[in-house]
Amino acid sequence: MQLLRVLTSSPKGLSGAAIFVIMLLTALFAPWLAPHDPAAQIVAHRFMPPAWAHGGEWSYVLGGDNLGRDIFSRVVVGARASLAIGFLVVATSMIGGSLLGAVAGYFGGAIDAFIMRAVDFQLAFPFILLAIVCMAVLGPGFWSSFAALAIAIWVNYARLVRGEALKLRELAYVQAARSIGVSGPRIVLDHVIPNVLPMILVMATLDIAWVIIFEAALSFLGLGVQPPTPSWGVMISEGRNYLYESHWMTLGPGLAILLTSVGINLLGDFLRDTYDPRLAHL
Amino acid sequence: MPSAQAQTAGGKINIARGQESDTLDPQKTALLVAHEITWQIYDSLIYLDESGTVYPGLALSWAFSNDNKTVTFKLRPNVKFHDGTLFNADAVSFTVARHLSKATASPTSWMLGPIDHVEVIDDLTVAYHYKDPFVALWVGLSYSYCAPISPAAVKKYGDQFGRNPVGTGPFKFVKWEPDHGITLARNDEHTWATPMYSNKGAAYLEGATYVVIPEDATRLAALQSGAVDVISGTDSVPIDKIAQLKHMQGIKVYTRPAVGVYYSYINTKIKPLDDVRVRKAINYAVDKQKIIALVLDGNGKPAHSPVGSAFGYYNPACEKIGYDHDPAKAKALLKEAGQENGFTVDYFVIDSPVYRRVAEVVQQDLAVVNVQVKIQAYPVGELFSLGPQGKAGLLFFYYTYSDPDLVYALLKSGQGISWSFQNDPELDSLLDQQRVEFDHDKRRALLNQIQERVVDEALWLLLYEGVYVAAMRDAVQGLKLDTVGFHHLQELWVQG
Amino acid sequence: MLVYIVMRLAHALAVLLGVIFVVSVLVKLIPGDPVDIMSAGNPGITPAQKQELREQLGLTRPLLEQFTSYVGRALHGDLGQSIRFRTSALSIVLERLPATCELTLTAMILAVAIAVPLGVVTALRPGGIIDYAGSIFGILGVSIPSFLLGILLVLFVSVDLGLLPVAGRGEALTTAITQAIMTGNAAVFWKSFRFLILPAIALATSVIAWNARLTRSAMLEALRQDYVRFATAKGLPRSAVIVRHALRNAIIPAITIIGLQVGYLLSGSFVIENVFAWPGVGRLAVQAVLWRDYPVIQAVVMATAITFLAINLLLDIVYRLVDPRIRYGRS
Repeated sequence: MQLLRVLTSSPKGLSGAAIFVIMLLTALFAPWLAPHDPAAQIVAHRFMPPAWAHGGEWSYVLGGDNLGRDIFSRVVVGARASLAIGFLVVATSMIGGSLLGAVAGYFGGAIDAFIMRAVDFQLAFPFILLAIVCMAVLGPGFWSSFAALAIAIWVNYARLVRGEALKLRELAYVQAARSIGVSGPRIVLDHVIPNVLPMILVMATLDIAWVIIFEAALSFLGLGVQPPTPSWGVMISEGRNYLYESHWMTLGPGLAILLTSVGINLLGDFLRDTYDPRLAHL
Repeated sequence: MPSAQAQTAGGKINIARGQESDTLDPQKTALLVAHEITWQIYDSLIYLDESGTVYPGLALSWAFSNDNKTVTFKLRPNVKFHDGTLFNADAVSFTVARHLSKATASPTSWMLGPIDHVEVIDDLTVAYHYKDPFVALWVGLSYSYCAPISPAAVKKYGDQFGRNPVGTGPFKFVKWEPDHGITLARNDEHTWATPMYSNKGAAYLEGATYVVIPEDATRLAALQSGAVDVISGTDSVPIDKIAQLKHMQGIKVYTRPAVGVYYSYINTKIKPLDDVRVRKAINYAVDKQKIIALVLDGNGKPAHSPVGSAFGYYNPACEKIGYDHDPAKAKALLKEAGQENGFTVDYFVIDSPVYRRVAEVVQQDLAVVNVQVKIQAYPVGELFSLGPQGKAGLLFFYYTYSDPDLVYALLKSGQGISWSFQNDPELDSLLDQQRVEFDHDKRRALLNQIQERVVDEALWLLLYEGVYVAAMRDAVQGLKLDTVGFHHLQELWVQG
Repeated sequence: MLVYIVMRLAHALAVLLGVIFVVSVLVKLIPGDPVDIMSAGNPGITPAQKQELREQLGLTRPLLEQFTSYVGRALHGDLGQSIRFRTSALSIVLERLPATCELTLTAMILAVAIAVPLGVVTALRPGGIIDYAGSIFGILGVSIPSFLLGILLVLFVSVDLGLLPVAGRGEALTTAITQAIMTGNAAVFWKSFRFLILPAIALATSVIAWNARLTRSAMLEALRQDYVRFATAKGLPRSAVIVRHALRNAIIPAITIIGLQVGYLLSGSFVIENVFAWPGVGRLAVQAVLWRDYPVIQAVVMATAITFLAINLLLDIVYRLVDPRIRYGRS
């Protein structure tokens, strides 16, 4: 596609995409890439320093955490939970939010009013509180983090798509199409979505980074995936208590998040620049 | 050991804790974070130490009568509440009546046991009449939840009494501001103290302010920078920071063994945990020393009996019939029980970092013998509502209490926190008997049997006994922690 | 204009009612009840006693009755008794609300006051050293979790360097400001403000980074506009061009978006309050959910919703006053 050609000629886009792909592959092949069992606890490895420091070993390259587990293996395996949550949440919100927005914008009237009221309620409600309540209702674990985060971001897509759908309703050729009986959903699919897709994609890429970081905040508050599944958020949340004993407990996942976020942001920036400089005003 | 330096009067200190008190009305809370402070504001009738010795407090002496169903207290004269009103038998009677009343909705009224009513005999004599003899009566009376409160103040403040507490204690309440914490000032009229304290006179400190700093790192930083002088209270000093704190300039650490046990209920109603061999296998599979090394940084010791080793009634025989770390034996037992292919069990755990880590170690150890553990962490309150529902295979728990009578609640069928759900009439009968047995030796014999039974039947996965810890700046002297892990401002002074 | 304000107020009220309703329902879906939680640590309490406690606390009435009586009393300013603290839920929330507002508003101001100049400066020389540094800050800012940043700040700035306090809050900022103005003594203001600095920075960083990039794009776009080039061609000095034309347009996106970000900041403050022991409603809210303290949960939601709606309403009005396009109506 034309996009790929533009991509390969942009250093920003290329590096972003490269980082992104590496992270993705790491997540997919994590169990094979991790040198050790991420859950294995060895007392002698408690707070073991990284390989290059005195007392470290190269097979445990980032050292051991407070329960004697291999930090590097946990970072690698943590990519799965973190990226999975990032993708799932964003995919769901993107699709769900866009659909709701399209419906609201296109059909207008009561449906629009109802959906927009929901958006308003959503925004007035502090997200963290919503997340905590979700967790309390659904019980701790991956799926409640998912629910809480998905609920938090669908509004942006809804508003965006609704705006486009509203504009489109007034256009002459759309009215013409309607008058000859082309169905609503087809119009939405053929016209609204393609117009709005680039903007949605930009938002989505940036949201993936946001979700991964926010998962860390949820873990900080004690809500998140359950052991022994590591996620970068859980690791940072645990590691913050041991900043003196072991930097790498926090630095490992922290750098992983940073790297992923950098990659995603570069990619997002590239997409934004490519599609429409107007998007900078989003 | 008393310090060689002379105590100096004066000084105000800041004490940091991890959690906020809910109210200072002793009858409207069951939380230890409230008790931590109400303890300084209110005096109890009596005081109890872990050996079971009872010391006079607001009650100078007592006598049992009527088959141990009545206890008559002689009260201390010339004691005033912080609002100037006189402490007397009427105040005690008022206190108990309010504690039991429906309007108060007290979560701790059960501590008064099978009490029938309180009789005022004269100004300084009051009799507690019970429906049945209550061996553990001292426990409730020693906690500040049952401490006498000022009737005049209750009438004056009504619902707001919890924010304007008035007791007879060595420190009086000054103010409570969310920004700045709870401030107390010395009660200069309080020139006496229970003989249980080393400081038997007036308190030294001029005042103290309790602040809440929820984040561990920030709390420790506050101590390091001198913004606070003491960190004390449940879980306020992270247990694996003790070594680091000891090495810090200007800071010292006080630790003592905790009175209580950390363990997990094994739910005998869920297959295959109904098989005693499986339960024994679980006990063999878990390496207690590893938990202590990894999670507690060495601050603790393995638990061998449902009754903590600090209690006088602890049965040392349990150490011999207990379970060492022996995965081979565990596997053999599981094979015998037909479970060598393993099974999955749900582990409900209190949602707090330390206990989650404990659960993770247990999870690993059980994985070695092919038992898959699914950890679910819940806030402690929710755990209390889930426990009786019996859905968990393993349920992490711990207790801190002053009398082994707690085993009644923990083990007797149908009781509030008896969550192994075992069907054992003999054990039940033993538990009933120890409750009313006032003779020390007979009670000891009963409790010995109970402990051995629990270990033999592997009703619990016994884990460890912890430590109480407080950290403070070098200038703070005299700090000791009591049986529930709290300090008493009465005893502290500031050097220099 | 007045009509607009009234309409927006009515809209805000409707949203508020909706939020309360949703929360009341949601909260009742949470398993467990306050009595179970209160009984934690009460080995001796029997199920019968627990049920009695529930009745005494009014938890056994039918749901609809509970909701309607709640709304009725709320109109009189009574938000119920906190089940945990055993005192008025409203008073507990009001005690802590000013602190949260202080933190959120300061972060908001920082988000604009630092981000806009940063964005403008980096746009003036795109691709230069400052721009490069700006983008690094930009990416780092949005990639580090705020609580981690907070803890790092405490450890480095407060403990290692001893420059700022570790935790807690001084006098209310409004009091400090008025006192400082009246006595002409800036030290009074500083005494309070120094507690606010680290928490506000930790909270605002990701928003600053985001807004800086936004402003940069807007500035770049503005500088490219024809009228700017025309002004430069006319011979106006570059600085005048920047200030008079480009800047005004560059600021608009940042200010537009800050209204949306208020909700995000309010949310973030919950996390930051935990780290810095900042006595706001954040920690109260988290604990209230854990404790199933329904009155406090509802009170906190109401308070934050009102705050959010109020700030947005104010911003809307300011925006209308400032933006000439809206002021003079669409043609």
